[in-house]
Amino acid sequence: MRHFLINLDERLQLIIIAVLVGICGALASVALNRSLVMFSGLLHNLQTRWYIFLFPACGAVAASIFLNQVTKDIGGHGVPEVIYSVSKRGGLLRLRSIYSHLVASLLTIASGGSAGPEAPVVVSGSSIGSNIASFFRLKDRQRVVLVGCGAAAAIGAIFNAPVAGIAFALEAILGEWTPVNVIPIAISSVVGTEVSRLLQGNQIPFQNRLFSIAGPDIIACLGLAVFTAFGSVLLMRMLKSVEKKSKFLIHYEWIRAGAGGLIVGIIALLLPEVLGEGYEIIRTIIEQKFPPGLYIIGLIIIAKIAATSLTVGSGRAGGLFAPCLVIGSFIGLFYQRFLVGVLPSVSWAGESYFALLGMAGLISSVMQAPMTGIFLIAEITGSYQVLVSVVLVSVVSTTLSHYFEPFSVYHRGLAARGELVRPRTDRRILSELSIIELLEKDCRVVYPEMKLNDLISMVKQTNRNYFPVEDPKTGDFLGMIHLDKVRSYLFNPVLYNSVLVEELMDKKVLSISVYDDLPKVFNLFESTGSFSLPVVQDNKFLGLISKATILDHYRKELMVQEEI
Amino acid sequence: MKLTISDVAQLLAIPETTLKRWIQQGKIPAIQDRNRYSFVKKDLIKWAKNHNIFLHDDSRENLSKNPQSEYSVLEAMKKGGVFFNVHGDNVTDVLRNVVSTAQIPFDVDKNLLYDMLLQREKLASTGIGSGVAIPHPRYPIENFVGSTIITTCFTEKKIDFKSIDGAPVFVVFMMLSPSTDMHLKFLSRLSYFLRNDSFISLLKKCSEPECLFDKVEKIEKSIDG
Repeated sequence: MRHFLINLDERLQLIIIAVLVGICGALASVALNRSLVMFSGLLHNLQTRWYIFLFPACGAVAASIFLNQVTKDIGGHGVPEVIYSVSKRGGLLRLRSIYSHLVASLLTIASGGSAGPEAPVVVSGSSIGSNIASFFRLKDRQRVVLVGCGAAAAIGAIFNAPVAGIAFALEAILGEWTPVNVIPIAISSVVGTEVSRLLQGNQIPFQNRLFSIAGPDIIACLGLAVFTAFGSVLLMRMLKSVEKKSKFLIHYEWIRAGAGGLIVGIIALLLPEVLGEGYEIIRTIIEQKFPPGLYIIGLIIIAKIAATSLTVGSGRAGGLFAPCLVIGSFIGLFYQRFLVGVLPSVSWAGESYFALLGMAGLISSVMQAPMTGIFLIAEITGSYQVLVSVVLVSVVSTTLSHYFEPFSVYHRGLAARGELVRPRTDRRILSELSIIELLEKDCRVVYPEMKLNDLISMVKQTNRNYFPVEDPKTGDFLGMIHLDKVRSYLFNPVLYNSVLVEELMDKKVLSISVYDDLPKVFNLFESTGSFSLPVVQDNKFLGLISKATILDHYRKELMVQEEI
Repeated sequence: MKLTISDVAQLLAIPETTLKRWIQQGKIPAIQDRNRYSFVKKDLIKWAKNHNIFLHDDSRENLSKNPQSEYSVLEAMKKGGVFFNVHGDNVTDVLRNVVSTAQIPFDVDKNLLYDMLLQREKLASTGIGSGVAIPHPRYPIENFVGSTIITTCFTEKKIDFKSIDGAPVFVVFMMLSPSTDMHLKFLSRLSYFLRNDSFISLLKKCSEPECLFDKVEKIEKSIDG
C-alpha cells in the first residue's frame, strides 16, 4: 500500500493521502469534543461549591505541567508553531504534538479557562498531516500541503464548516491560494466534516431564525465594524502585554499559568459568563434570551477579553476561535442595545443578527483572515441570507484593525522575530539560499611576498578580478586584491619587480561569515558598492560571493518554485 | 537513462547542496532508492522545459576545454610542413608559392586562400619584425575542420614585406586556424618565440626541419612548465 502510494502520480497521491488526513483530523476533533462534554458533565455537579474559583488555576497548572514537563511541547495556542514549521521547516511537526495540545487544552477548558478547543485541534490535525506525509516519504512541498489539509479537516470537523476549514488553511496556515493546494485541502476538509457528521450528527452549532433586514441595518453594520475592530485590537494588545509581563514577572511556567488561572477564577466569581469555551452563552444570545443590560454586557466584554488574555497569554494550550466568537457576539449584542437606546424609532433587525455579525467581524480582525470569518459565520449559523452584511462587517473590520495591528494574532510573534516567510516572497527565496550554495571557490590565492610580476602572470591565467591574499604559513586570510584598484600599475613595467602584493592589497576588506543571512549580505553589497565579497570563516578564506552569481541562483529558485 | 546527483548538478550548473535541497523540497522530480537519489533523463528534460531552465550540455563543455597539446606550435608546424628556398621577388609572388607548396587539407580552395591572404596583407603587413612574417586570412576559413596549421617557408631571397621594423623577410609562417580564438592563442605563442633572440638566430641558419622542431619543442616545454 505504502509502496503503491509512493510511486503514484503526485496529484493523485496527495488527494488520496488528503482523505486519510481528513479522517484522522476529524477523529481528533471528535475525541476532544466528546471528552470536553464528559469532563464538563463531571464538573457540573461542583458548580455550587465555594472553591470553584480555584478550578481554572488547578487546570492551568496541570495543563502547563503536562505540556512543558511531560510532552516537552511549547505552550500557547500552538498555531504559530504550525505556521513557523510551514514557513521554515518544510512543515515538519513532532509526532507528540498530535495529542499534547489536545490533552492540555482539555485540562484548560474543562476547568473553566477562557479558551477554545479549535486551535489545539488544528495543531493536532496539522501534526497528523505532517507525520503522515513523512510516513509516505513526501517532500517538503507536499508535506506543507498536508499540514494545511490537517488544519482544514480540524476546523471543518469541529465547526461542521467545510468551507471555513478550507479558507482557514489557505489564509492563516499556508498563506497562498494555488490550485495545487486548494484541491487536496478541499477534499480533506470535506472528508473531515463528513466523518464528524457521521459520528456526531449534522448539527448547525448556532441555528437561528430568519431575519428581516432593512436598509438601516446594512448602514449600521459599518458602525459595528468599528466596534469589532476596536474589540479585536484591544484583545490582541492585551494578549501581547500579558504574554510579555507574565514572562517578565514569573519565571516558572506552571506558576505563571496557575496565576493566570487564579485571576480568571476570581473574575468568574462576579461574571461566570467568562468561563470555558462559551458556546452555551453564544447559543443564548443567538436565541435572544440574554437578559442583562447594556452596562453589564460592556463589563462582560472587558472581562472576557481579560480572561482570554490571561488564559492564553499565560502560556496554556487553548484556542482563540471560541473566545473570539463569544466576545464578538457580546459586542454585537452591546451594539444592538446601544442602537435601540439611541434610535428607538427604527425597527432594528434583532439581537441575533448583530451578534453573528459581531462574531464575523472579530474573528476576521483577530486572524486578519476575512474569508475565514465570512465562511465560518455563514456556516455555523446557517444564515446565508445575511452574507452581504457579514462580508461588509468582516472586510471593514479587518481593514480598520489592520491599521493598528498589521499582523494577525498568529503571525505577530513570528513577524516580530523575522521568522514569518510567506511563499513566493523575496524573503522566502533568500531564506532558502545559503552562503555555502553561493560560494565561488575557483579563486587563485596570492601571497603577500609575491612581486607584481608574479601577480600579472597569475592574472593572465584566470578570468577573475579578485584575488585573496593568504599568509603562506598559517593560511590566514590577510586581504584582497581587486584588479580594478591595481589596474594602473599593471602597465608600468618599472614596478614589476619592485612592488609587492602586500603593498597592493586591500587590508580592511569587509568579509562575510558562512552563517550570515542573505539580507545582511545584500545590505553589505549596497553599502560598499562592491560586486564581490570574500567569505571568511575562522580567519580562513573560503571563497567569493558575487552579485552576478546570486542573481543566477535567485532566478533559478524563482523558476523552480513555479508549479506546472 | 539514469543520472546521478552530480550529473544533474552539472547540467543545471548549480552546487550539489542546492540540488539536494530542491529534492528535499520536492521542487525537482527525483527517484529515491533508500538514501540515494537518481534522475530519469527524459523526465528531467521535460521538467527543465516546463520551468524554462537551461540545461548545460556536457558534450559542448568538453569541446571548449581543449587539452594543452592542441595549442602546441610544434604539432601545428609538423602538420603544415617546412619548406626551403621558396621562390618569389615580392610579397604576392611569395604568397602564391607558399600557398601552392603548403600541405593543407584538400577541401580548402587554394585560390580563395591566396585571395584571403592578399586581402589581409593590404590592411596591414603581417611582417612582425626580425625578418619574420605570419600571413593569415582575415577570418577563419569556413568548414575548416581540425586544429591550427602552420606552414613554414624559408624564402630564396629576402623580401620587402613592409614590416614594422623595415627588416626584409626571410621566413614566412602561414597560419590557418579553425577559429579566431585559436588564431589568437597561436599568434601570441608564436610572437613569444620570436622575442627569443636565439630562436631568430637559429631560424637564420636553419637548413632542415628537425633543427627547427627541436628548438620549438624546447621553448614550448619551458613555457608549459
